Amino acid sequence: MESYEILCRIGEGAHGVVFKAKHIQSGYHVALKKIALRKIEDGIPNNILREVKTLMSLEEHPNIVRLFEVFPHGMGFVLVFEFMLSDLSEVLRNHSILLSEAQIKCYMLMLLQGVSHCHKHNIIHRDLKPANLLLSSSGHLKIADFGLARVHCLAEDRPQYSHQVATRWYRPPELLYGARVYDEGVDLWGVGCILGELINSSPLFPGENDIDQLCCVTRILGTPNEQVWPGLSDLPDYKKITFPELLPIPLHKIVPDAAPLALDLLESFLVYVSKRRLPAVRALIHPYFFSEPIPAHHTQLPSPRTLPKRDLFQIFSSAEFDPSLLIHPSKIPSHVIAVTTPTQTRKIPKQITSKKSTTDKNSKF
Amino acid sequence: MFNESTHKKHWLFPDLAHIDKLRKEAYDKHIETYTPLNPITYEEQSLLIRHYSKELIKFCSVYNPPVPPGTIYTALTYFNRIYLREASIQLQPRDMMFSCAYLAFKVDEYNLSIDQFLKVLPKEMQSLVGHTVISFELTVMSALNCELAVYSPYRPLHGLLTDMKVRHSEEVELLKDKSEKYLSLSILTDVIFLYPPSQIALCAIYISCEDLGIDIEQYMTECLFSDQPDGMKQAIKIVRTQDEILKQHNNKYLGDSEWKIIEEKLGKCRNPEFDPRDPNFTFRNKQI
Repeated sequence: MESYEILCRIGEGAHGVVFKAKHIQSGYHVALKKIALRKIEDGIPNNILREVKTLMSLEEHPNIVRLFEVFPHGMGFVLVFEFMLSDLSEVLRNHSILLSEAQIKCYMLMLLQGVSHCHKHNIIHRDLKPANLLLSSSGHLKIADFGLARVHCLAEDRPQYSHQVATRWYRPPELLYGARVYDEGVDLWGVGCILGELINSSPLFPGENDIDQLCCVTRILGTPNEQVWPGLSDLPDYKKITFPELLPIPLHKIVPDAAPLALDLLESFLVYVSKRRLPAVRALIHPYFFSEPIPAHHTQLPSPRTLPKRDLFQIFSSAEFDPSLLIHPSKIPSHVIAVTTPTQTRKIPKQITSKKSTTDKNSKF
Repeated sequence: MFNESTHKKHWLFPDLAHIDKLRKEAYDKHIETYTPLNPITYEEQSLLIRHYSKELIKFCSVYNPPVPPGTIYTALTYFNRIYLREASIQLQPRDMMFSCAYLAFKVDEYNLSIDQFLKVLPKEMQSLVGHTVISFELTVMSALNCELAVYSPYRPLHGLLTDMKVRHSEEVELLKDKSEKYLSLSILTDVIFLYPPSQIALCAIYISCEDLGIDIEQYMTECLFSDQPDGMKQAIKIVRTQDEILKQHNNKYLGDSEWKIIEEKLGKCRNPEFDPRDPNFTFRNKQI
């Protein structure tokens, strides 16, 4: 602890306080999460162990927040993270910022790179949401909070979170139906929700409680049944909740500003059957990212926040330029574009709702 | 992704001499900083660690529903990793046995409250063990360098067996029992610090096949090493070395009266700062 100088308090998590601090020797800024164990009978909480295990076992990745070290301190211990300036929820909440399509693509690219890295290592994040996607001042997006309360940045001068409920909005239908067994699809649903939210500037499924959450989803995707979603009736909470038979609404009505390719990508994530959601690694080569406008460079992203004392908050990891974030259209394998034209891939959701061939006609009324 | 794991990077070593050197250095370091009158010798410590490795498996097997073998393996690995960096006069094997088990249960999500964890023990032991386990949690974490992800050989073992059944239509039921039994012994040796889990698993299957008279080499040439003739030779060499280590190891367990003598000796020479029975031991998470 002697090697850090605490600068200010930046937030509070479920198990402790988060401080901004300076590593004295190097001058780097870090976020210190102090975990107090005093009142915890069973010792170190499982979710913290999970976070430590996960972050220590993940290779360093530009889109995943770094855990530098863990050390005991007093009656608890301290996790030392790289310091991040802001998070995506803040950009979304700031209505003076209008994200361009190129900027949205850049965020999505970074998010999907982080997610595919996790999935490659068999790690399911389980809690993807804008507030867990931290932003460095150079614009890099990094996935954080692997099983722990989020890092709030500079909480004193930003609106209080009225919705701890946020997580619910990104929760996939299988979890809402009480599924105990799930897979990477959980995260891919979250990715879809985040994409929709970036385009719409408002959450896609803002449920007010768990039941309402399912309502929000069924209102748009239509009421699921065994045909659309085999195995649905076996889910623990399936019989507890019944919904009126609703037909799906075509997504372009929900996300009117989305370009056809964006819509296609969105539709491939927001699918009832978890296994049919587009894997992150394949989403990265979706034509969406290779079509005009191409993804913006991270330096072209909105500055996370205008800070009163900018020099004080220089980023910790002066995140180096990462050429992989800039994918040139020339790199696209030509077959990728040729095979998946928008009209063809639109079929995916149609197959799922094939029992209702009248869907589209009806919903136009 | 074992290849990128801390397990491979930090906890596998080139040979037995290397591992022995690490243990010896850790032992010397602690004897120097805390010098008791009649210290436990390095050899006695090794024997005691070996004894408690076995006890750890026995202890974990008491729970119901059964603790998955992979989780027991995690606990065992934690336990043995500790003594590559620490010595028994600080961290007594008996305390570490319980601490590692509890930590491994949590990490591998075999979820138990501390009370449920203690329930299997005799009443009079419960409060002391509970105190010990919670107090040492962070000490153990930092001795492990917070690298909690362990890859067990049970997954590759079952993978290989399934593959043999599917691609080589082998009868594997008997083989499964036998290889699991073999594995439960081999993981008590230093092979866990020498070989990746898949090779430990292969060794268990190979030796069991020999015992049962199953021709595993045909499966290996046809399915595992069809495109690399050298791989086969190497694999067999690795298997033989592992088996040899196990044979060397097997006759070095302590008898009942013997370990009690060493335990008693350790009780007299251990560092009281790390003794949960000591009145001065009030803080948890003692930094090492």
